[in-house]
Amino acid sequence: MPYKAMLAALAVVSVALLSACEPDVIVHEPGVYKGKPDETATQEAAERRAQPLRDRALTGMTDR
Amino acid sequence: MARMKFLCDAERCIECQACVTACKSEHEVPWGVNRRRVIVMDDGLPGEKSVSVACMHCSDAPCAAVCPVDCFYTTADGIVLHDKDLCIGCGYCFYACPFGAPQYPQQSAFGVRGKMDKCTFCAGGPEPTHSEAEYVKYGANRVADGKLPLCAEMCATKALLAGDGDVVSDIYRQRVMRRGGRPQTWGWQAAYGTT
Amino acid sequence: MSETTVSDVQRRRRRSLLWSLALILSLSMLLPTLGYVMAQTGQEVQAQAQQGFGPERATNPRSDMWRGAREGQTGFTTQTGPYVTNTMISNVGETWRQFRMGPLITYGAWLLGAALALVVLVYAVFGRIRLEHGRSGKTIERWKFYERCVHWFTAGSFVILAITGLSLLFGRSVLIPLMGREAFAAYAEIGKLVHNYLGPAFSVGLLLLILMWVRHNIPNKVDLAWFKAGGGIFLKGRHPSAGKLNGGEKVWFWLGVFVFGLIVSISGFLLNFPIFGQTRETMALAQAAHAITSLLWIGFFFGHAYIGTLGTEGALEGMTTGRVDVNWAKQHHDLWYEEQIARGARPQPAEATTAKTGAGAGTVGQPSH
Repeated sequence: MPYKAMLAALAVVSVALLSACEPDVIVHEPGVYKGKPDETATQEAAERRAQPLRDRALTGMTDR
Repeated sequence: MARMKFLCDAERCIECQACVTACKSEHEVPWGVNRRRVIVMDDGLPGEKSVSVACMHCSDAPCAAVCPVDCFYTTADGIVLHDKDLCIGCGYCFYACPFGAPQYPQQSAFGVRGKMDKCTFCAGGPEPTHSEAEYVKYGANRVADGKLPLCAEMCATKALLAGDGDVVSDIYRQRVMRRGGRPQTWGWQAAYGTT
Repeated sequence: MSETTVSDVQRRRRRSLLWSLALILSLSMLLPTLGYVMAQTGQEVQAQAQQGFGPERATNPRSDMWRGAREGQTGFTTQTGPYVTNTMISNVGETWRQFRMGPLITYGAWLLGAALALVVLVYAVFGRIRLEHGRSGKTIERWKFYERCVHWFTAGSFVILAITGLSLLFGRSVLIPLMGREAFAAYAEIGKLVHNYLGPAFSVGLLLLILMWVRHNIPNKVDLAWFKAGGGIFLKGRHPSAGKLNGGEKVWFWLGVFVFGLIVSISGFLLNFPIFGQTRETMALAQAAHAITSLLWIGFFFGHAYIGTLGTEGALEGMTTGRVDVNWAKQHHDLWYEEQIARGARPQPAEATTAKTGAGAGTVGQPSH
């Protein structure tokens, strides 16, 4: 009986401990970083290069 | 907003290691550091497949979550980059990364880790674009020039795809639709379809 | 007569009600598990069918390969390097990340807070344990010079390792908002170096401590009585006997120094020297063991440090000067004191500074403060 009680207590404790796990997926928001500025990381830079990169993928990666 | 992605078409990858060589040469990666590697599954068995693996630029990057000095950041189009000036070489990102992307140059005895180095999607790092410092620390910045990562651009069989996730998945979906043969088969038909 | 039949009917009705309720309950729990039975038999049937059909009906080899990769199957790679792995997808990373960022950081902080609160509570409720008969003015040797050296070396490195280790665990949530990323990264870089170089030296200190003091730490019946008497802290007016080291000190030795020390040293060694081909699984596990044990140990250490300094009058000087007051020895370690006297140890008058606070040998029974 104490063995079972111990198991039960262990289960309760481990469930309680696991409840601290992050329930949500964190999508790291661009621009949250406060370190050294990186001009390639900004929204404007990404928008500027989006279309050229898309065109390049379509010309370079597709079968001829 | 576009999210930059890599995709390796395992039906086409022929384990030529050109992506690895191109990466090393383009960024002058030090010896012992491999930003990209080719892994062959079921080597020598029927159904053998090779896949080129590097940083997958996760949306919820485990490396960024566990970093004690918080040196990771994500560009607006989803490229995961890090600041080598902050990195202390603790190795936590290597434990957390599912793909084994973080690499460390060994600077001294007993395996003391140097600053972490990983695939940057050819987007440099937090230094002035095209500066000497950026090249030495993070390698070439091709993305700023409107070019895609060299590993993917020079892939001979076009197995390794890189770019806007929408475009990459479109290309791959069209390929899959053209493909014939049973799942057991491999070769031209499985990789390039009936043309 | 009629009353009995009514009660019989009532009883029967109640019994049937109870049974049907039990039936409903047990069925509601059992019926969903039928799915498992179906799945189990289904799997077996499928396996038999596959054996019968041959390779054409086998699982899709493409899916098999990706399934294997997802499960962490290893492949072959030509690249070499200390950090190159032939695993395409390693599953330990996400588990370790969840563990570290969730339970470890959350409950680690709670644990340390609770340990500190407990110490404060003990001080508030029981207060400092005074020397019951004041100072005798005579001292007896307790710790030799080399013992004190090893103790303070180990203690000092423990504190430094604890501070640098906790900085790495809690720095991002506590120190980065205070110091900023650049300053914290510079501090963490030095902290990591200090932690990595001091760690092995600390392990050597632990080894010396164990070798030096294991003979004083053999548990015996006196310790049992000591624990029953609450160690002289929680039950006022009871003076449990103790040899050179009491039961509590023995627990600190065996659990703290020996068990925790062993776990922390081995896991630290695995993490510190990644040159033996440790896999990520090994290192993530070692990190988990290292962190859990260290946090428990630091919590335990709060107690040790409190009892040795603030909690007990006259205890700290044994470890600083090496000599303790005779009255302290009689009060806390009576058996050891008698043994020392029987061996021919002569208590010597304390130095002028310590003698001033003492009221002299004659004032037995009067508190000195």
